[in-house]
Amino acid sequence: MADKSPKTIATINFKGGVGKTTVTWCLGDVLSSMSNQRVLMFDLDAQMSLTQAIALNEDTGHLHDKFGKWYESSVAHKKTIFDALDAFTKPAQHFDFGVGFDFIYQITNQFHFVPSVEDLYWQELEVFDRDGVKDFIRRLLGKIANSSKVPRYDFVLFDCPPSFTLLSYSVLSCCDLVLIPVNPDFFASRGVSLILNSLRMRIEPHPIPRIGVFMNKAKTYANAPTKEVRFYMREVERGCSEAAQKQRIDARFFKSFVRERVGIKRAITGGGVPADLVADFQNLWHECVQYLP
Amino acid sequence: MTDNLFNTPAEEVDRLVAELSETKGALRELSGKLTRIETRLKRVFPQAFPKRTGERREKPLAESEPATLNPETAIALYEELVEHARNDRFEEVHRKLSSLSLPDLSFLRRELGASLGKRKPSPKTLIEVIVGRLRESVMLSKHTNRQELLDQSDLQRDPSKEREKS
Repeated sequence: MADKSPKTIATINFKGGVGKTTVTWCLGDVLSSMSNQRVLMFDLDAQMSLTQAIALNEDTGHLHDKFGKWYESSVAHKKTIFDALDAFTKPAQHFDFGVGFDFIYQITNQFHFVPSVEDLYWQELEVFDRDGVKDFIRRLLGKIANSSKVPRYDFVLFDCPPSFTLLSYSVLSCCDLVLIPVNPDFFASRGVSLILNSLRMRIEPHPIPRIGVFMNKAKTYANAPTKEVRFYMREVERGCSEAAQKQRIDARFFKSFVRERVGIKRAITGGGVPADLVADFQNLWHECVQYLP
Repeated sequence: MTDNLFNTPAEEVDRLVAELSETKGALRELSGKLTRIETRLKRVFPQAFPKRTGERREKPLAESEPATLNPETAIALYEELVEHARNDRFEEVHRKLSSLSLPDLSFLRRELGASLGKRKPSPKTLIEVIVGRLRESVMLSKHTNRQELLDQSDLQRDPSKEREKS
């Protein structure tokens, strides 16, 4: 029987501003709008950038504040990701949390979304037990897969915070692929080295997911990366292969890259991936799918 | 008590080194102040600081001359330099870079995508920029694992732990 569980991809980098949120959204948007695949996207960052960007999109008048009203209702009925975590960590009870469209928001027919809440900021103070949270995402995905109220998803994307929180720990313990966007500069490239060299230590004894690193915000000249970008691509690729060998992890530097475009900053709020960048995200998807276990 | 009255030669050296360092710092600060004053004077009285002309230095090979390197050989050379830099052999790096002509240095700099604020950089500037890239490469492949270091220092202090481990 074919495996019907969705493939899970977590976008993470401990360095802020590398484009995690935009990349996650663009990947979801391109796949859901240009194929028959159904995508579910989680915002796990308490900064709520993705959630707010989607709310801003509605503010353009396109969907008449639909998300705002849905979100208020979701918070009022305790159907947020924080409430799910709260239910999961309650002592001596089974995981009692119903999953439906009061928990999952439908951006489009094939692109669905679980927003973040500010309460995630304080989650670390309320839940101290790392191991108590590790299975949260796995169990939540199981609930979503078994729920008759929501469709079967082909891919689940996670927008992770730029730090190692309990939720990112829970995601990394169960996801199929960790996708690390990197920028062509020294500090962003250092961020990759940090994750690659510490992931095993942090999430053992769980199996280490496959790790794909790609260059985001690549400056181009005549549609090819500039020499400066190529310098950092070579360095990050070298870092990936050295870490893979040293840490015994499956890490790969992707050939595909996403070009730097001013328009991409407005992609989420302005209604879509710029036409000239669609191919970049399609290439990235191809490489992700080929690499997925 | 009389034994400890005077500094030992080693203590005296330490103090002198500290004093030298302090004096150098003070001189650096003074030099910075002088430069700032000179810059302000130049702005107010530009005619008092005529540009030096007539001193002709030996012209190095122009940057526009064709380089002997190509993209592949330039990157191969850079990889070789990275290996030297990783092993702290910066003298070797400087020696190799100094032996390159200006067009080759310029070509290598361009292949590494290192930007410059000058239109006609000197070989020294080009070497500095390339060495800057080398330092980045070395830093990017270095990772300090605190736990590993702690384990190593534990083992050095108490070798019996190694036996227990094995």
